[in-house]
Amino acid sequence: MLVRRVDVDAAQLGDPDGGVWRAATGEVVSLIQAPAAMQPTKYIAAKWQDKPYGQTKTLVVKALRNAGEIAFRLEWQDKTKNERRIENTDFPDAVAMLFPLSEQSPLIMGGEGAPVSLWYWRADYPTRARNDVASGIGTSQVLDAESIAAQAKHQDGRWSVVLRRSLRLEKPLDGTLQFSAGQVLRTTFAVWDGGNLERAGIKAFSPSWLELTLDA
Amino acid sequence: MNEKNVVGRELAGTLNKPNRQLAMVFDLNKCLGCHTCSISCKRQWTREEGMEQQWWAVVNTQPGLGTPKNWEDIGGGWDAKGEPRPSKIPTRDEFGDAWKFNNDEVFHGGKGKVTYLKPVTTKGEAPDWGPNWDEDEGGGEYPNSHFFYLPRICNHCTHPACLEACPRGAIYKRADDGIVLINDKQCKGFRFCMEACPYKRIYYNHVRDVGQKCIFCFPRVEKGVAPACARQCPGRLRFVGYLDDENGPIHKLVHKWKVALPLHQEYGTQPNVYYVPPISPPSVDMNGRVDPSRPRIPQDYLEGLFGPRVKEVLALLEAEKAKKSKGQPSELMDLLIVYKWPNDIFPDFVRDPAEL
Repeated sequence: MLVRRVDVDAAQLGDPDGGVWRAATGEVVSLIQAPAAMQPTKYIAAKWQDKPYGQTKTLVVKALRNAGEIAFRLEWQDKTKNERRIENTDFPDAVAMLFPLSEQSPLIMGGEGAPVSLWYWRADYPTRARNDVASGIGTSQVLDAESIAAQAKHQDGRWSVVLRRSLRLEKPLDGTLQFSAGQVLRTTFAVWDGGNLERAGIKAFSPSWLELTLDA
Repeated sequence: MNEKNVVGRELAGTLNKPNRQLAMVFDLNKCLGCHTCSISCKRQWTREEGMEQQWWAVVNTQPGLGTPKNWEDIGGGWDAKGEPRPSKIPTRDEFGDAWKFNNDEVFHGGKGKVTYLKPVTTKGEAPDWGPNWDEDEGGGEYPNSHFFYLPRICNHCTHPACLEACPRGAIYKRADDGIVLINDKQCKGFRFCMEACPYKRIYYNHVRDVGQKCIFCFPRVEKGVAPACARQCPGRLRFVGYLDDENGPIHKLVHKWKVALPLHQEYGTQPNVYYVPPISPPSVDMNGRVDPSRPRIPQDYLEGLFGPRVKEVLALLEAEKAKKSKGQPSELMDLLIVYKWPNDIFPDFVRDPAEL
């Protein structure tokens, strides 16, 4: 899909209800349940093998850039808004994008020597997403929690979240993506329904890459 | 997964054990239920924001529902085939929340004569459970009512269910002393450990978004100081030492005299806190006649907690007690009496923390 260039300011780009997003074309991405057999521990597999989870079926993705920033608008159905994290059983809703950092990086959390970059938004921190890097299941480490701005809205049983970042970071840490005009890159997605106690590998994810091309 | 932390994990059918294991023995015949252990732990480790509701060392009244409520009935640990038993995350209310009180209203609002102190939970509700809600209720019918105290901490298990449940390898068992710790830089607050622990001794810190639990006071232990709960215990019932130290009280009570038993051994995690079971008072009838042949605490209840060797252990304790009262020597009674504190109760950890 084309990350089309629009000449709007950061406020317009960041607003999930903004006119630029209404005008943008979206891609419907199919999601599947992350299989119980793929869970990294026996406890998690035993607990969830017969329970429904990862039932979010689709995610609508839109992507735009302006002169200095790239933004993704992610929208999915989730009837219950879970943003609290006070009770021990509170798990906030979340969404993530995953970008390969090497040609061979596996789609599921990367692998050794084949890392992935993660943009992870969670409803208890609605105004920012975390930038993580991972080289396999259970290895994600936070790079920073400042560079990706977020704006989120839950209405009519749907989340709409815009993630927005500078195309280029001035002092990029290892594992940070840098974007430029004409660049082609791949991404994929995951969604967690906090109301169903979903976290970690208990999620819905897209099993195929979505190719992005940055407008000049 | 962080494959570096192999101690405490079962890999290719083999359980990787530490080089040495620190353990505790609690003599339940000496516990007076004063909660000094809980308070000393609280003051040492769990005073920060987000830890208000955490009690790494608790003392439950038995029979009772415990901390968290009904913890014995919600699974976790390993089944007879060594497979994980699914469980659930206990809620703050089930653990017993840190209540807030209307201090301002009562003490400073001029209403001291018309209202009274009322607790509310984090959710703003009137509590109907607490960390020690059923204290001293116990079981049995008058005149055979009975209870005893059961102090509980993290068991620093030989096969910790928490450690294997964590998808991030954030929990590790130290190779040189078997202490089980959560690496809070690696922990992401997923709380699978809270489910998998069958003793439900892990708490969630909602401020820092991590799991937290008893650390066997490892910074003290490393300096030769006993854990706070053990050193402060007025009843002097908490023995501390290495399981393989044949000259130490732990080895003698667990392996030589075999009077210290694990709690709920059937959970399969091989806990490293052991209990000398409580000697029961005898039954009495309504006329006050004592029947020494019938213990007031039902034996099957004790066996439900400490396993099938309870009867044998209680008989041995009675026999050795009888010897001692006749003036005959009894190594076991001398061990349990703890003549010389602290040398007899935690010989490797006698240093006074005030002198550090």
